[in-house]
Amino acid sequence: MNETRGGSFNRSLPVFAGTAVAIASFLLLDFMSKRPSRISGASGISAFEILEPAEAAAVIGLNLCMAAAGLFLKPPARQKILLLLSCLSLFLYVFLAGRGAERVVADMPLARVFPSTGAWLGILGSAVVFSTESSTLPDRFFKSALSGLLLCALAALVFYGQLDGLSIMREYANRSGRFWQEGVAHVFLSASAVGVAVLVGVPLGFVAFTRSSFEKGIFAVTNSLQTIPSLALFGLLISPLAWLSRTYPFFASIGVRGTGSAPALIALSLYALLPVVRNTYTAFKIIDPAIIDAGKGMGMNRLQLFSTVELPVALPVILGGIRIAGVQTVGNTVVAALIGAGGFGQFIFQGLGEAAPDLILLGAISTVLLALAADGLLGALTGIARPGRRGREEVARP
Amino acid sequence: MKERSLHGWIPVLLAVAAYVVLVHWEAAWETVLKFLFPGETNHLYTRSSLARLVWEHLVLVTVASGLATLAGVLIGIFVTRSTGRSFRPVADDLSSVGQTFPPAAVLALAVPATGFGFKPAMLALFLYGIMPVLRNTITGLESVPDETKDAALGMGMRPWQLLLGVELPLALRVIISGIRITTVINIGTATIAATIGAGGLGAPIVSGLISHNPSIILEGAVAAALLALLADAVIEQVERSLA
Repeated sequence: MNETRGGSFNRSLPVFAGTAVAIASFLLLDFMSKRPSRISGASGISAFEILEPAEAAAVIGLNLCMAAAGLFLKPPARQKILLLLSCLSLFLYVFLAGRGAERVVADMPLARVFPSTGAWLGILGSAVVFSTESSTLPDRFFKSALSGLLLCALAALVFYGQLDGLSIMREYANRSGRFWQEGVAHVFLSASAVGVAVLVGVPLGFVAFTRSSFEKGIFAVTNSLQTIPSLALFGLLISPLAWLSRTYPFFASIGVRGTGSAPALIALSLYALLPVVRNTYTAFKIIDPAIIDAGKGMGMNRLQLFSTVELPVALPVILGGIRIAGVQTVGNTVVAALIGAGGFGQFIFQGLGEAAPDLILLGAISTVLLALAADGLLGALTGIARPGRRGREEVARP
Repeated sequence: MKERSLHGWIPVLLAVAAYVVLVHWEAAWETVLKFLFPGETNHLYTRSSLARLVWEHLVLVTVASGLATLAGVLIGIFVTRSTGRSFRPVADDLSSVGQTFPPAAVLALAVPATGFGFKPAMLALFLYGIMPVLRNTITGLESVPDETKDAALGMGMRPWQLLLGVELPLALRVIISGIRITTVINIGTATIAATIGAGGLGAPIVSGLISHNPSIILEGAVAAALLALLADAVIEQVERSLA
């Protein structure tokens, strides 16, 4: 009896830790930080200076509710209620940050306001509760519906201008045209690089699998390519490409220069090669030879065997590699801005140059969101390709 | 067995020695770069010697990766013990979401938090470096078979003896491969850290990009690329000699 009670208390430790950190940092640390103008120094604002008593009570109350739920509730109601409360709390933090910023900006129109440690640790605390409880709840539908709902609610906050007082949104408002332009450039460059990596990497991985004499060489090269720092790889390509475009007018006419999108695309594709090659190789390596024998026994020729047996089994693993490559490439494209290829990195490095933290935040947070989106999208694609119910039907049809 | 692992060290150590000589031999760099870029007036980065840049780079990477290893291993041990097991999903989620964050973005985000220079670079490299070590520590500790642990406990080992004498030694190889990933990523990120004023081998690259001088870009890029390949080879050799 004692042991089970100890066990459930132990289970709730992350919930207690998360909510305790959230409440303590809410009471003791700065909730937001304020700069009188875009590039001046920051000072902290506590939650009580900027929030209404009812709002502060809501934050503390929600955290106490979560702690109480962790202490008293039993599964499965426990997980569902805690997930719901943690999502509510995440939404509340973002909403209140927007409200707080609005209040400061109403008094000082030039001020720049952004959430500070107190708010971030509260968000982290709620995320800890969410992650702990979602790991023990088997109901996938509930989890995805809830996180989808949260995403929609946060998007609505942005859409209806509730966060417009935050420094990052004001920075965006000043350059919304260029923001989307750089965003499109970022997506386009990343997607083309991954596209090239797939076109080259999948055959290369297949060759590494079928011809063992090439296996070592292919992996030595792709491994070394990814070991080289991205900025160094860009740097190494500048001189040869500049030479090419100077010496052969043909290359200059198709836009190949030392800087800009040509070296960026080449370097990013080379970088993305390893995950694609490695996963393609693994995908074919792990196919059970018995399946292939069965296919041969049914009288399939090489092409049929490849398209109806090997490829459907290998596809999810290959897509997993493309997912890794995609997320990495979105991140590396930031560095490409240094050689003039555009993208969100442009804002980061411009912000660093101007010592304008808001512009840095705009570039960095947009990149992080784009990487998370790429991960989610390619992850979903991998999930669809996995030989589940639908996949099996498709394989069985021929 | 021992002899074979020593054999593997010889080429690695020769490569390290060659690199040390290379970064101190600026006359050789200048000759080659003068030949490649006859039009430039400056062929080498003037604000700092190459050896000094390598040193700055190594200090940043070693300190950050060392602290990240310490934190990653400790957290990994904590979440695989019975008291910390409930934190395991949080550790998993944080490390998988964290790895989605682009290193350059983490570096940039550290600037509004701590200002320019060495400090934000160290913070970013440290935070980013925890995840591969943490993930591999968890994998390594969990790959120790239950029978092995039961046998050790049956022999009368205390939990801490089990951890230090059995689990960690068996997990060591996997942990070191995590340290290798962390180090290689950090060498790459440290190169970008030149943009936030942290020095290192990115400094000539960034400075060359700004002043349109391909010679010093190449100087920094070659030195940084070789450093990363070398560090990777050294840690791989450590991994191998444990097998």
